[in-house]
Amino acid sequence: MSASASTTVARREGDRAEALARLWSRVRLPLVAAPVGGLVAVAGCYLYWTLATILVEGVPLTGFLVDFGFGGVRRWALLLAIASLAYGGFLLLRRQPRTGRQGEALARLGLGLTVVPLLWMVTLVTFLNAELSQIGPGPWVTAAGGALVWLAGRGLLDAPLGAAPEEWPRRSVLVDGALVVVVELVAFGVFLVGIAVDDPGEFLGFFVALTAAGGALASLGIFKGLAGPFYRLDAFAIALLAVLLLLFPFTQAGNTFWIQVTAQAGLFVVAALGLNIVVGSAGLLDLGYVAFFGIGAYTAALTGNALLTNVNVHIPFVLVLLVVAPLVTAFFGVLLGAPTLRLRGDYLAIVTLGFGEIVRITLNNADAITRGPNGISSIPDPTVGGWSIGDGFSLAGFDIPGNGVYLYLELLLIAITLFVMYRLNDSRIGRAWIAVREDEVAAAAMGINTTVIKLLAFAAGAFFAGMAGAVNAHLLTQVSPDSYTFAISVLILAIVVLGGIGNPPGVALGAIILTFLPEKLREFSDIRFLVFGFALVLMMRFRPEGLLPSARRRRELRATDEVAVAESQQLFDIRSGT
Amino acid sequence: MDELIQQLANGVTKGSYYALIALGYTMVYGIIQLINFAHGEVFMLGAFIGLWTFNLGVSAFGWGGTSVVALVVVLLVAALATPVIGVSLERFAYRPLRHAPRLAPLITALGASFLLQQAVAVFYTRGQLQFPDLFPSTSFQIGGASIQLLWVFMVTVALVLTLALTLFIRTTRLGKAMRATAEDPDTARLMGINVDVIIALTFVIGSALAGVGGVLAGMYLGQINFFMGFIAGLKAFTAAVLGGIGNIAGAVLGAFLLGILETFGAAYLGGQWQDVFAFCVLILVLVFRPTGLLGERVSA
Repeated sequence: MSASASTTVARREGDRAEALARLWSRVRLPLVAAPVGGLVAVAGCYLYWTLATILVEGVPLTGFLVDFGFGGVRRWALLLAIASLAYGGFLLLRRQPRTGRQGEALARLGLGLTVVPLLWMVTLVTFLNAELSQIGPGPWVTAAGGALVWLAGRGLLDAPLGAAPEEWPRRSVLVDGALVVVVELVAFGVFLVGIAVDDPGEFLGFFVALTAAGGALASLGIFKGLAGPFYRLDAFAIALLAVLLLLFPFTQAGNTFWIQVTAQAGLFVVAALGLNIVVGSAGLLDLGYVAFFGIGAYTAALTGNALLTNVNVHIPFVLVLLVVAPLVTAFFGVLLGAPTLRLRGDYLAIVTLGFGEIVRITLNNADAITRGPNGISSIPDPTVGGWSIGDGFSLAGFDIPGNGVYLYLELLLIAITLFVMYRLNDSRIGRAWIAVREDEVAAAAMGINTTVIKLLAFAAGAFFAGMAGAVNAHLLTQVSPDSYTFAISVLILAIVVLGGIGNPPGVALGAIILTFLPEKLREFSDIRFLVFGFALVLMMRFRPEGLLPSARRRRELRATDEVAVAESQQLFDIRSGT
Repeated sequence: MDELIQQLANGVTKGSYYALIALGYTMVYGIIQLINFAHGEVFMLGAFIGLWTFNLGVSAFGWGGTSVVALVVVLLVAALATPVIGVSLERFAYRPLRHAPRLAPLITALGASFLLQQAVAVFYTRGQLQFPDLFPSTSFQIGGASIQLLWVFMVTVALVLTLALTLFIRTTRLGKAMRATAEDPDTARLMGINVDVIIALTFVIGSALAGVGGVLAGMYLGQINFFMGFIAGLKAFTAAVLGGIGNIAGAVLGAFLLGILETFGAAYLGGQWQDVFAFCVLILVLVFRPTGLLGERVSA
């Protein structure tokens, strides 16, 4: 009897412990912590962020940071905090994150939420000479809330990761189309908001928040899923994007600055697409690519009727843009390519680097033609008929400035470049490039003339750099050797690498990020190349395949079994028709 | 004739610090097949560390003018501090990418080069800095050419260090391990060699030599800036290729040869074409003898 009693008690205790454990596993501490952290961060956004008047170039910061009104960096912190609260609350209501990826998403939101206020304080203290005592409790509380969310996310990571994200399957064309439209409109909106955020400190917050949100969406597999509709409706997606970019100058209300920056980004897209052929398709690392950009620019400058020049040849711009400049640079591409054909990858890199320097120094020294270090300036805008494209035009009450017209011209060039690139990649030449990249000896054994194929890659890459350079000369109205240094070669390479080698949309994204970021952070321009070098190192370390990798590149650069298995699984799925 | 000797002496002196940088390039390339773009920056940092050490010495011990103690201390500190940079680069930037495709570490090296250069530019100075004359500026005459004692010192240091390095690689256990790793890292690992340590050691030696080179170049050129490592590094790599990369004797030979060729090129074509001349030499060598003058050979 006593025995049975004791077992009952034991069972009861066991039940209680079990129930407690079950309860505990349902209401896990991290699950509770996440929305609490979000709530704390929201509260932090409503506290004082500065206690005293902090002067920025004589203008007090008080206006939007001491008041409860929202402006400045705390707007972006608040958005992240609300997102954390909402997502943490959602996970709490669902009791359990189904996969570790949800925890990862939460962690990324939290990390962003921690970094935004901390970064704001760091910039305030280091760049604006503010005292730590002038900073209110707001950023500290927000950062603490963010850290709580981050820790909560980390705590949820132990859930099974779940299946790798997949592309969303076709439901109907309408759904796919709607997804494409919504995503592109949101992206365009984010772009416009980014341009509208003027204060560099606030922009830093905006950028970090955007990165965190993007990272969170990426861990939830949203981007991978969206790739489905975008692949299926690629022509529609590209057309819509082109329309949005055509509309862009209309949104700037006559303010030309950001149109000019976008036009510069457009040129880098063309140049980077060209480099992508050399590095991405053919696998030849070219570190002197800026030479072709420069030669194209000087060609256009010398034939463009410039005011301050030693050469007075005038060739119509259309001819220069589409024929003369690209062919001249393609010729130099072959000239550089010819002696380097026998070289292995690393030697090639250093020889191309030397070539870039040779061209720059030559431009600097050949005073008789290039006017030496002064360069050629006052290059007029090209004219079509009697209309100088620098004058812009008016349409439906909107004035489109000259650099808007340049932007349209570049969209046309990008379209041409993309068309040629895709056609080339699908051709015998494109396949030969890939073969040479993968294994030169095997490619030669298969009957590919590797000499011609490599020269073609150099020529094609140089061709597009020449086009971009020609527009660049007119857009900036001047050329000088200082504009074509090694740093620009690295910049274009970084655009290709950051965006994703071998993937044109990625290249475009890379160009936009790397041209806009320095302009936006002009206040910190001293350190921008420092950040740039650091970013290259980190990028190679943590995401070598770039932000928007092509599937093939991703496999090559990651080369982990997991990815390879996933890929072959997909292949299998396609074959078996499921 | 006097002119000839003068140019020759200039060229050989220049070659001596190219050689000290080229050794690091060639050893690292020989062992992990990576063009360590940041190596030129290690050289530049060597010069800056030398200058800081000297300034510290001036304020702490009242160094002034030329002194043997100052010279030795500055050289030693530069040689001891630069390996920290080199090894950090290896540990945090290159090692994680050792099995990645070749493009990845190369781009990392470029990024690291930018990072180091800009770190000096941002946190210290973008301007030219005067480098102190640590060495007595006496000179003597050979024929009609005026040769500075410093130049003799530089060439001697370069040659002695090269000799020491060669002996180290040929005769010591570590040197043997280094050769084995360069030959075949996987087999070396099977033979019980700690490949990671050997690679780190390569960076230590290479960086120390570049650090010494930086101080010598500072004394030779009289002024230093954050950008000096870029062109010097490029030249040194050219020299390593010229002699046959991976080959220590080749790197030194290539460096002296490049220094001499460049000086003569500058004298007869005009100084502004000096760099163009050096790179043309590089391209010509690679076209006609891609393995360099002495051929590619694994360390020693």
